[in-house]
Amino acid sequence: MAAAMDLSSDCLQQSLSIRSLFFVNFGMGVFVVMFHLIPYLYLNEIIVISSPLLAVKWFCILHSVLQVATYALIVKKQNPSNKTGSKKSPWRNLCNKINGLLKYGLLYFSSILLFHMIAVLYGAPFSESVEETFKLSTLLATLTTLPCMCVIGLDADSWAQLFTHNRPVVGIESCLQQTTVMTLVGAWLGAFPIPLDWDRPWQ
Amino acid sequence: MRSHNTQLFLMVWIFTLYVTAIVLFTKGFLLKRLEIPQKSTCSDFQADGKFDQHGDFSQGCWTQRRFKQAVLLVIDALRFDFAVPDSKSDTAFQNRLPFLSRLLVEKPLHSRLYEFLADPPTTTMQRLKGLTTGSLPTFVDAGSNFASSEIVEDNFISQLTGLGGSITFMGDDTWESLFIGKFKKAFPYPSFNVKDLHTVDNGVIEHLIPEIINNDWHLLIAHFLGVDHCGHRFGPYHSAMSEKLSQMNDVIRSVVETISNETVLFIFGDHGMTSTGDHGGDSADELSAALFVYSPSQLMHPDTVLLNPLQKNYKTLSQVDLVPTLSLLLGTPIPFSNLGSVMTDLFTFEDKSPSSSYSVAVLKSIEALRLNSYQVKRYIDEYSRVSDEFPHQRATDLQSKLDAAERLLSEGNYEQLSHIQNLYIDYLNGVKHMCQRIWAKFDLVLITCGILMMVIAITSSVALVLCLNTTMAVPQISLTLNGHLKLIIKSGIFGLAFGIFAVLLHTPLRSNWATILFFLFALISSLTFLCKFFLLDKSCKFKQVSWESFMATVLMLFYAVAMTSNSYVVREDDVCVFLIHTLLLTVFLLNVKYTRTKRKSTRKWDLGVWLTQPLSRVMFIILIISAAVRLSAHFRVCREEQYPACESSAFAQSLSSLPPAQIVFKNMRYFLSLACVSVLPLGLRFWMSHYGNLNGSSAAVTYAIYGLPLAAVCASFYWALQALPDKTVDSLPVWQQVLLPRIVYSVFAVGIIIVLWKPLTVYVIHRGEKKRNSNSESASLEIHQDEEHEVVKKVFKKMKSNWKKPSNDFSSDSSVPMVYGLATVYSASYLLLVTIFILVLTILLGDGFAPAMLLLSVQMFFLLELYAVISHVKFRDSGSSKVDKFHDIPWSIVALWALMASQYFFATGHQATVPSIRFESAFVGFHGDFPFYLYFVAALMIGLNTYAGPVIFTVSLPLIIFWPYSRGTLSQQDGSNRANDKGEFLLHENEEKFSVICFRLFMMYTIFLAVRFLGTMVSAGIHRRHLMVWKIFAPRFVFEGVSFLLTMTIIFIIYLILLRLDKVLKNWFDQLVIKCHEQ
Repeated sequence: MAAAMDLSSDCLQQSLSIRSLFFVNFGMGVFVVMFHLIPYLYLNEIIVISSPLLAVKWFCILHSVLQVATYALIVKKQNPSNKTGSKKSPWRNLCNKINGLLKYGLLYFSSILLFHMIAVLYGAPFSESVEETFKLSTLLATLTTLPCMCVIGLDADSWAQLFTHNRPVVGIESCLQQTTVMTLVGAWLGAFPIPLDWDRPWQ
Repeated sequence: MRSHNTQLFLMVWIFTLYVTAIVLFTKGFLLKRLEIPQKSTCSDFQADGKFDQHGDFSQGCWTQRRFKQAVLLVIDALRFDFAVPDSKSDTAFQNRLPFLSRLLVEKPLHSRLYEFLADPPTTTMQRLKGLTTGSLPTFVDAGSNFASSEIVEDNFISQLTGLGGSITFMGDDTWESLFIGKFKKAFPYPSFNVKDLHTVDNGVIEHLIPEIINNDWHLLIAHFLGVDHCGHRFGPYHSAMSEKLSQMNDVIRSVVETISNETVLFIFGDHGMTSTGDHGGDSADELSAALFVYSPSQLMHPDTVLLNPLQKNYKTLSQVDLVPTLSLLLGTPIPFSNLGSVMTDLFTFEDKSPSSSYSVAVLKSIEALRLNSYQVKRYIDEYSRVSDEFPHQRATDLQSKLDAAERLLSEGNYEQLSHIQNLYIDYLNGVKHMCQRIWAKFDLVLITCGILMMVIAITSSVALVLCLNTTMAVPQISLTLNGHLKLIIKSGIFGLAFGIFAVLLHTPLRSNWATILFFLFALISSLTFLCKFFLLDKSCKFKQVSWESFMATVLMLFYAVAMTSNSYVVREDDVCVFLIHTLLLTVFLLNVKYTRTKRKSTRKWDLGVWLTQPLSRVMFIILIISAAVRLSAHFRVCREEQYPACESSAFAQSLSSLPPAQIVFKNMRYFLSLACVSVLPLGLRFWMSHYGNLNGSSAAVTYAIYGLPLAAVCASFYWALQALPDKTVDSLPVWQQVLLPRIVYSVFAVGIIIVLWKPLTVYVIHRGEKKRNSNSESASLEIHQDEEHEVVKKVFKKMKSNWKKPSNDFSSDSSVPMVYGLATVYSASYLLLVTIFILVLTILLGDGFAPAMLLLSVQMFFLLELYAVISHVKFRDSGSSKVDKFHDIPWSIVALWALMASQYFFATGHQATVPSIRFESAFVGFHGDFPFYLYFVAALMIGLNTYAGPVIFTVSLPLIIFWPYSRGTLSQQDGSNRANDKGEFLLHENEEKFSVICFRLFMMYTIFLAVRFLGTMVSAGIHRRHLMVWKIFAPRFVFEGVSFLLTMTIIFIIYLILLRLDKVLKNWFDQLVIKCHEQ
């Protein structure tokens, strides 16, 4: 993760090749399928339905680990010569890293809170089912904020650039943009079946 | 002015189209059941020879007369569990009728308790119709509850009086209006005042026992209302309910002890009540009433008696079953259109042979059932002669059942008596269910016509709006509109002529001549218009649709489509909030690119710079709107289907009905309401003084300073009065109870008159006379430079007042008068009007919803701000004049407006169901009963209460037009041209354009509502055989329809008000010019 952070600042200049991007997304896809498939084979139940809270929790954890690892690997591979922090003293270096880590954590956490707030504004109950809403916002943050964080880091202008560009070049930016937008649209669409009562016996 | 008239006529035309569509659809959808005027007579079945006839009332008509007299004690809203003894639990309403349980235990052969199921709608008048005629009600009857009308169908009251029986009546005066002149003696009491728990009951008690002893009646009806009113006022769990039921217990005891041996006593509720004490719908609690039968002489054969009379499984009967039972017991014919079946238990005993066996008893009851079946068969035969709606297969099945029973009986097969009995009962129940299912008759042709007409009307208004959407010059627009209008009038006249011709030639059409004329007029004129629009007119074309409008359209269509799903209708309050947030976010995201400015400051986190950025301003506004939308959800009440996930707002209860334990909450809530209701007049005052509209002493200014606060103060005192314990309030003289709200109403009326008569809040200083005045002002400007706020205010006013006509012919500086508040001349007067409306609706809604009304105002204000800011930053760089800039009011803002209107329908404590209508609002400022000619006032008040949200949003619609002219400019960095800024006076200078803008805005707003209304129409049409149609879809359709009609009316009125405002301004301006010339 630290490597990813160090390198993230200037990764925007060098777009990843389409091929590695394809592998990243393919890997994520495989992960998602496996996440559902493996418990199904062993426990013979679809865990998202039988115990959704647990499933979301583990999905968030595993997915974030996987993402951080993947992006660290790719970004490092793309910029093997980049060693910004190496000239400074190791102590200073560590301090920087801890400082960066804290900032990232703060960003991640505040994005969770932001999603939570948006969910409540959209009509989620305020004092009941807090855990469910919080899990949802964690999931959203993991799927949207985390990859962006890994790739662009903390620079506000790069963030703004990412989401105001109408048609970014096909590459990691467009990929991130599409993932983020589609995740949010998916979450928005997910609200539509809520009122339906097809699970009632009389239906 | 010609342009105004054109638009006015076009508006009338469009509204006519809509109304035609609604009338057509409603005629097809809410058809009344066919009433068959035939009556049963004593000698009905004599010709058949199947029955041994008595043919004489003294003996009994169709069967042996069992009782000489009957007493009906109707205890309104006596729910079944009120009467059921239950030793385990003890709430305010349980075990309060111990005398009934004592009778059940001590005299099991004389008394019996039944569950008495009502047919929805559970309103008293519909129930009384069912209880006397034995027929099933239809949905549409519920609407005419306000003015009950005489029953013309056959019923046991008219049967009895027709045979010379005499009836004594006392209690609820609904009976009187249903059976005019049928009662020999009557002691009616007004029923409408739900706050009054005792007048009716005490009156009935006073007359009841003397009249029973008097013994000059065959049937005595006593209708108590206390329990029902107590439910409406306090709910069933209040201690007042215990008192009321105990009182009823005493009444029952004294009646039972007084009646003679030849009398049968029926005690029943006409419907139940929900856990909040309301009724009208069809939930289990509302439908289940109690029926208790008693006679001093033996009623039943010993074998029919349950082993333990207090055990739980009571028989369940339908309320219509009372009709044949009572008729046969008293020896009158069963009413012709009865669908109930006799209560078999009551026909199992005969005085003549008290010790007969059980099979003889069953045979007796079969005889009654058989008569009943013949009567029902005759009725459905007669009915199917008039209409062919009974499904053939089902009717044949039922007929075969009846034939089988007849055959078995004629064979004298006495071993199978209970089987025969069951066959008859099956037959009767089968017929009833068949009727229930197919009763509401739909006319598919009319329904389709209505929907088609609605589609055509919507298309026509869309076409009109598109016509105005172009950047054409004003004369061209009016020319086009004039052309359209002429065409419409010509084709409409042609349609009318055609209609008259058709009606005259074809006689069967004559009965519906009005509908036909309207329909032909609307159809032909709209089709001609559309043909011209799509084929010939090339000037009106689709502009490129922005993403914003696209999204708004998609959401509107989704809303309309969602009306066809019962889940979405049930959760409509949430759907609405969700859609608002989505549209808000869309508007934000699509406009965010305009708000980005190059950062001038080098310091990254300069708060001042950051706060004045348009972007952060917009974000801030969006956040406030979202928060208000979300907070308003706390003022909702739940509809029955939303339980148990939903909890009704604590604000919806009245203060006095809160338990004493919640005194802290009570106080907090009161003071919160107080704060909220005071914010509005203060806010308006601040706003007006900020824009210089509060100078001078014109009527409107004085009104804003004194009238509005007076109304707010009266409202808060009134709420304090209402929060007192009810007994204290009731002990006050009537005038004290109604004085405060009436002051508010008078203030409202005065306000409306002022807005119509002298709405202007401008203040003129003629510089020639007041030279010194302005001098001193400029001097003070120099002196107090440190008082920055004051100076800014003055400079601002000065700049606002420094308008000049470009072609000024009186150029000399001193002759140009200084006018305060001209830049906000429209919005100041209009805000005054809106505030009056909000205040009067707040008092109608009650104290609990004052915070909701504040949220509404906040939300509305910030939505206007959002629109103003966005339109300013959007056109920041374009050089076009202001009128052109703000000409096109974006569709998304109008859609948001409409969505918020329905959001506040729910957030003011309403749902689209009959039980959630708040009838008690008719008594704010009125006490006791309304005379007949004032029913419309009650209806108006209940209507305004129900549609408070939509009404306010519709009334304040023109604010969208005014707002960008006076607000939103602070976001502009360059304020240099503000000195030349004429604000809203610009609208007056472009008078023609102004009326076009108004017309277009109103059309857009109605389009949104009409599309949603179309959704409810289509869903009601599609789901007409759905399980939930009378519970969900039909009420939704009716609520939306009333709301739509109300909105159209208001729009028409406010268009006239705007024209009036414009005219007043014109007169004022002309006089000013003349005055200036004179100087």
